[in-house]
Order: sequence, then C-alpha cells, then structure tokens
Amino acid sequence: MDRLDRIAIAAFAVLLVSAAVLMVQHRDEPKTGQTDQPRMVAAAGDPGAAAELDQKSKLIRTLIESESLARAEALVQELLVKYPYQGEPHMLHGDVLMRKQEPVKAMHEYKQAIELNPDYLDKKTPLFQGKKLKVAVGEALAEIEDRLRRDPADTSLKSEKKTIYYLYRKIAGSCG
Amino acid sequence: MKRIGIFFLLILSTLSCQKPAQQAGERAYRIGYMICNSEQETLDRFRPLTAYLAKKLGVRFEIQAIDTVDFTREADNLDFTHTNSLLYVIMHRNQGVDILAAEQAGSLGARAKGLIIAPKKSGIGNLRQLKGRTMVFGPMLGPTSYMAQLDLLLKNGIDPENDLSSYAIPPGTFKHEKVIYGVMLGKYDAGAAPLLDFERMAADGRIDPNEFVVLAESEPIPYCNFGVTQKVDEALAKRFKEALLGITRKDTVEIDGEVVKVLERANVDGYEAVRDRDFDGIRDMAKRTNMPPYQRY
Repeated sequence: MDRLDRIAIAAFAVLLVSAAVLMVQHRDEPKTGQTDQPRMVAAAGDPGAAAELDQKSKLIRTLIESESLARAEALVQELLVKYPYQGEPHMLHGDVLMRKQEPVKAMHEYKQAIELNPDYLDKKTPLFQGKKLKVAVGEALAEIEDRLRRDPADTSLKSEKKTIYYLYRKIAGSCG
Repeated sequence: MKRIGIFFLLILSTLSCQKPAQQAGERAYRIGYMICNSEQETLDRFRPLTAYLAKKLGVRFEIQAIDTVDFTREADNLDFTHTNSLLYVIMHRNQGVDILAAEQAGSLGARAKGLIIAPKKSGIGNLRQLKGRTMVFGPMLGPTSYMAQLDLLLKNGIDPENDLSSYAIPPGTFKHEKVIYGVMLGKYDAGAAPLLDFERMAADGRIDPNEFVVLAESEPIPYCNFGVTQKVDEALAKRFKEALLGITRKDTVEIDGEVVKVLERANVDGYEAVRDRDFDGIRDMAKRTNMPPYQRY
C-alpha cells in the first residue's frame, strides 16, 4: 500500500463519515415538497373529494380566525357527515370548541382526529399539531380537576380523565 | 493511472456533497413581524436583524410584516414569529407557537407596563374621576395599550362601554403616539399608552412628562418576543434562540451596502430567555377582560 492508496482510503472514510453526519443532522426534517394533500387523496380515494375537503377546511379556518364560530361549526358538521374517515373535520371541530372555551369537548374531537390521521402527531409531516394539542389537553385536565374539586363524587369524569392521560401518552410518544 | 482516477473520483464525490442550504430551491424560513407603528418602520427595524440571523445560522429567511389583527390568520404559514405578548398567548393556545426570547427595551428591560394618562391641567386625579369623560386607547390587541388599561378600569369600577362618555382608537399608523398627542393636545380627557412609548417620546423631547398625570399603571408583563411555530425543527429553534440571546450591541451586519448595528437598528437593547409561564399574568388579564384567546361570546 503506497501513499496514494492511503490518501484514497482516508478520503473514502471522510466521505462515509460526512454522509452519516448529514443523515443524522437532517433525519427530522420534513421531506421536500411534502404536503398534506397525498394522505387526504389516498384516504378519500377521490382527488375531487380531497380538493373539496381541503378547500372547505381552509374556509373553516378563515371563519374561525374571523370569530364566525357558528358558521364555522355548521360547515364542520357538514364535513363530519360527508367525510367520516377523515381526521381534518375533527381537528377543525376541536379548534372551534377551543374558541368556545370548551376544552373537554375539544379534547374528544382531537382524539378522533389523531386516531383517524396519526400524522397530526408526527413532526416529520406538515400536518403536525402536537404542541397545540398539548395545550388543549392541559386545559381540559385543569377544567376536570376544577369540576372534581367542586364535586369529588362525580364519577362521570372518570372516562374524561382516562382520555386525557391517553392523549398525554400519545403526545409524549409522538414524533415531535 | 487507475488508482489516480479512483482518487479523483473520490475527491469529486466529496466536493459534490453540498449542504442542503447551498442547493437551489432550498427552503426559506419565514419570519412574521407584527407591525408595530407602520409596515415600513417594522421592515426597516428588522431587516438587519433577520440578515444577521440568516448569516449566523446559515439559513435563508424571508421577512413578512403582518398587521396585528391579521397575524393569527398567517401563523400557520410562518416558521418564526415576532409579536407582542398577547399575540403570543393567543398563538400558543391556538396554533402551538412556543416562546423563544423576549425583547429588552426601555427602563423595564424585558417587561412593559400600560399607563392611563391624563393632562395635568385637567384636574383628573384618579380613575373613578374618568366617569363621563372621554378616553383614547391604542390598538385593541395591544397588551399595554388596551388590555392592561381595560383591566385597570374594570378593577376600579369603570366599564368603558357604560361609564365613559365615549372612547376611541386612532386609525392608521403610530397609534401609541397618536394616543399620547391626543391627550396632550386635549382632544381626549385620558389615554391608554405603553410606558415604553411614553418614555421614548419624553427622551426625544417630543413631550414633557410633567404635563401629564399618570392615573394608573399596570403590573409589568412581557412585551415583544420571538416565538417558533410547531412545525419547525427543534434543533433549528434552539439555534435561533441561542443566536438571539447572544447578540450584543457591537454586532453588525451589512445590508444594502451599509454596515449597521443590529440591535440599534431594531431599537432594542437585547434579548432575554423567557418561559411560557412568565405569560400567565397576561392570560389572567385576558380572562378578566374577556379578550382572546379566552373570549366568551
């Protein structure tokens, strides 16, 4: 093995290490050009339906931010009936309920949303909503604890509390 | 010869391993800056800071000046946010924005206070004497130009809707200055102004603080801050925060052929680490005053 062989081997090793470092550095980044559309198309099985869902979801988000909660909720109800296997209508319903200061009800909608579309808890996707959900679940827990303080014998809150800790586990175990 | 060929192939492969930031079409991160006084003023203040951060982090940033009332609509399209503390509280709850650093400016550093002021010559000496009087407020989503003062009024038994003869919010740009001038020139009996703007106008010699009486001042609360939206990689958010906390008065950046001091141009003294729970006072205030994100319809 002469000097040139040794340089070539060293260069090869540097190349391998660089590749490994780059892979580790960028493993958590979303893939270029990745959007929420493909999953919706696949789930709806119909590009037209996915486009409609996307369009109406944007409209609902605008209504929510404009504080037109009644109109937003009416549109959400339509989507819930039309797309029962999509997570987005549940996510939007949760958002409306949070604006109405009903975090416990919102938590149930968020639960359905992440069960129908786990991407909401996957930071590698543009759908990630984990931080928002954590805040909502925290508020739901505070409300339940407050209700329990007022009425410690209230057994109806047992399942609500279980749902909260189920969501905490899901959020803690998510890719976020 | 064959070995030399392999060697050069390896060198070529190594050199072709560009970082993603150098590749064409690489993603630019968007920073939304809440418009403070005017769009132009906001861009002038924060373009150098953004350029400095881009250079420091090796990341491409796009800058966007956004009106206060439109900010939450844009939040999902942004990567980093620069807003007042009430907007942060709203976006933390509704969009999952996390806090990175608070801005230091004025005598209270990374805190701010809202004042209720009146002309000294008016003879008004306390909040209860505002019943039946006129008042001018700053922008509605301003924590120290509206919410804090509304809280003070309500605590002192003054409901602006029922107890003032009328109240107004100035239109257009530079609302805080318009409030202070409106009170100084006697157009309104009292006004709601941030301490920071009051101090700056006094330091510039544009107002004489002795011509005013401060009827009430709020508790100190965090004010402008940088946040990060939930889609941004944690490692980049951490680097962004460290870069902000590390900026000193001496740091400069070249922009439009001019070397400018980053903090001086941004009109801030520095950045300070802050936790989400430091904003709990603002949350309590928002609940008491029925303001977003806890508004009940």
